[in-house]
Amino acid sequence: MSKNRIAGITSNTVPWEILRAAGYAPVLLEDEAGPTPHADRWMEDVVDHRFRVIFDRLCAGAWNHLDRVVIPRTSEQEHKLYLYLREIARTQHPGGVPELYFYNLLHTRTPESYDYGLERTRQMVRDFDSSEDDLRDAIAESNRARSCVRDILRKRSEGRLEGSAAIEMIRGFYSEERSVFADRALDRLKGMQEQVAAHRPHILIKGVPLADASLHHLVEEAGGYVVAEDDWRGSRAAGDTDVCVNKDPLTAIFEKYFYDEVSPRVHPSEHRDAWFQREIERGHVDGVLFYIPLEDDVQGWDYPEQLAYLKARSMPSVLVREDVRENGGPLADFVRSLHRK
Amino acid sequence: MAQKQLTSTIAASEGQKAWFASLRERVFETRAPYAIGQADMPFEVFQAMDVPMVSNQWWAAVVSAKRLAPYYLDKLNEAGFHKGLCRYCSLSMASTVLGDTSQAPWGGLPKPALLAARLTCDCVQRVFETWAAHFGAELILLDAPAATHLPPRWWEQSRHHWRELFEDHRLQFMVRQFERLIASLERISGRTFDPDRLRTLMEQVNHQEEYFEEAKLAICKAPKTPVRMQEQITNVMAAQWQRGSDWAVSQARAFRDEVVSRAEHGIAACPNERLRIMWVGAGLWYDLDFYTAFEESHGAVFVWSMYLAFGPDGYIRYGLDDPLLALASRTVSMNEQLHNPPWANEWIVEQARSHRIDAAFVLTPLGTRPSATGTRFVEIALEAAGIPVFSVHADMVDARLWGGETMRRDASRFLDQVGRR
Ligand code: SF4
Ligand code: SF4
Repeated sequence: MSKNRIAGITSNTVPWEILRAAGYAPVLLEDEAGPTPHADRWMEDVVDHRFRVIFDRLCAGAWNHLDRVVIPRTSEQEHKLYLYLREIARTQHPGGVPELYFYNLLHTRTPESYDYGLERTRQMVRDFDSSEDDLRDAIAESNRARSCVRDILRKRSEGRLEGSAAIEMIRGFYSEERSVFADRALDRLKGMQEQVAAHRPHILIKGVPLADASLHHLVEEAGGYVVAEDDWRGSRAAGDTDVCVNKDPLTAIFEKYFYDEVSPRVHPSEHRDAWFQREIERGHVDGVLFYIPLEDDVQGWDYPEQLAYLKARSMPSVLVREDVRENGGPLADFVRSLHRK
Repeated sequence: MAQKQLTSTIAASEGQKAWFASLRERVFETRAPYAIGQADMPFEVFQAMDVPMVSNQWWAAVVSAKRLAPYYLDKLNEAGFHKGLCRYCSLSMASTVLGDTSQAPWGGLPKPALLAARLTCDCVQRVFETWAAHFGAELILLDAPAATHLPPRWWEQSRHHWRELFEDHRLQFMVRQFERLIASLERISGRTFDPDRLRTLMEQVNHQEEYFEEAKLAICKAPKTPVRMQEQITNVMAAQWQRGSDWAVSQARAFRDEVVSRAEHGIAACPNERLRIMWVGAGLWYDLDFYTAFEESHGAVFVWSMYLAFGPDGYIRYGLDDPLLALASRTVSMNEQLHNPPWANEWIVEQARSHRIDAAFVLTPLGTRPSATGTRFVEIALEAAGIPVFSVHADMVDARLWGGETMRRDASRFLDQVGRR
């Protein structure tokens, strides 16, 4: 495995192992500040900020350290991002946008989608020319990093690691070489023995994907302890399982991404909600913070059901919108109203 | 609303009402099963199995045209669904689930046996899940892998070379999903699917769309359009929702005959026509008068919308030895064809040229935000082709967001400028 090419990925469902085995260093493309003139020209304002930034930087040639960009069918916005970038490459900057690759992973948990996704994964392995041995090595590296993510989460459950610090640490899972991430994480965790959560109410954050730790900071400033978030960049980064090492690597990789990754397109809803309900039933949460800005077009559909679910269990919750950062009052009141069980 | 000029338009509206009345009667009296489905579902399969299907978007348009959308959308918000969520696909659900459902048009939608949607966006599965749970109806969702083979001039290949155009793996996958849908329809209806019947129906759909193509060509060629856009839509949509049926084919033929004859006799929908306008996007269902508002003042006539032109280009499929595969090719890429680059922009520019369009009104849906994508590409492509664009930021069903007066004033100013060119 030569490891000098960089592949930008847009979310958790791009099979890291396949890229790694093909000699790429996969890096999650993140949000950043600054103007986005290309996105302003070509994209409607319905597109999330992170995807606007990705589009903008790729059109501007600002991210030419990337040799490839791999986009999965994990959200409709990513599908559109792919189409828009292709069109820019075709009509505006031939050769100016890094080579694009689309991974047609579906998330309806049907036998047809399983077969289709497996076949598309097989095609991806062929397209990237990843050998079976290299896949096995990449799986080992990646599974070790997953176990470190779980160590981070355990520290947090024990009350020894702030939620904001936890998600900052987990970021490396998507942006660093996974072996480096694992070493670093283990190192940092060793020193953390002190209780920081004593008597502070435990909050679970639910809603739209979080771009950064700012919401965590708000909760923490109000005296809460963020014990989990239903987010692939937080509590759900490693998933429930590792990539299985007891079957052929291709099937194992596909099944991991098909059955154990977060996507707004997961169907049926029992599967989509399973993690959340399990966390509530574990009994370690004192209150749920829903973050659903009005730009959202997905989570708001699930909210009334989820609220009813919480009410039936007498679990307190609060719903905040985009203005929470300017007007933190209701959030702070909510945190103060909770008691550590 | 402007007087209907074509007899076929009156027949289309009446035909549709009669169809709906008989559907209600069958459902209530004989407990016959029917379905509610998204506009991009394979209606042909339902038709071939005698399970009527109501299009979700059509019903939303009916509710909106009766000015009932604000009432039901308010109810939706009161039930905890926030104000930013998509409305085009959820209005019909709201009208059957929330508030006083007896207010809904024509007696409202009875309980369906099946709800069916194709998963283009991420929200629609949630709308249909909520809906199916309410009715205790079966739910069939068709997943939608993305196209990666995207030759810009798709319409030159879609009739004969659809196997290559739409990618074999996507077609095969869709066929497998159709098989699941068929199994469910067989269970619900107690009938057996017959591929030969589907093939015959698909041939009929081809005839129907060929009639629409002839009508479209007459509109392209005539010095002044013989038929207004709104009447095109009424005729086309009534037939498309029942495509391939004897009624739909004869309705399409009657429309073609009337349009061609009007063109031959030099009859213009608006004798004052000086500007030919295209409408890009779904209709403004609650304010259809908007489309005739500039005829007197500017001689501006809406002559094009996607509804007629997409019939031939989007639906015709030749080579029907495997009718399910051909039907899959009609279903897999509708969204890309109508809304996304490169297919939507390339096609719309082509349409503008062939219809001798002077200016385009392009809708950016406000209350149906995820479906707003692709509009910038369309606008920029039209402008690059020398066609001035007026951007309309509005929703197709949510009248609460519509400023009719302001929009008419701004559009007038835009048309003043176009007229001076
Ligand atoms: S507006 Fe577009 S996406 Fe929505 S139903 Fe109509 S064709 Fe489909
Ligand atoms: S994005 Fe389009 S298909 Fe999805 S719910 Fe909205 S209008 Fe319907």
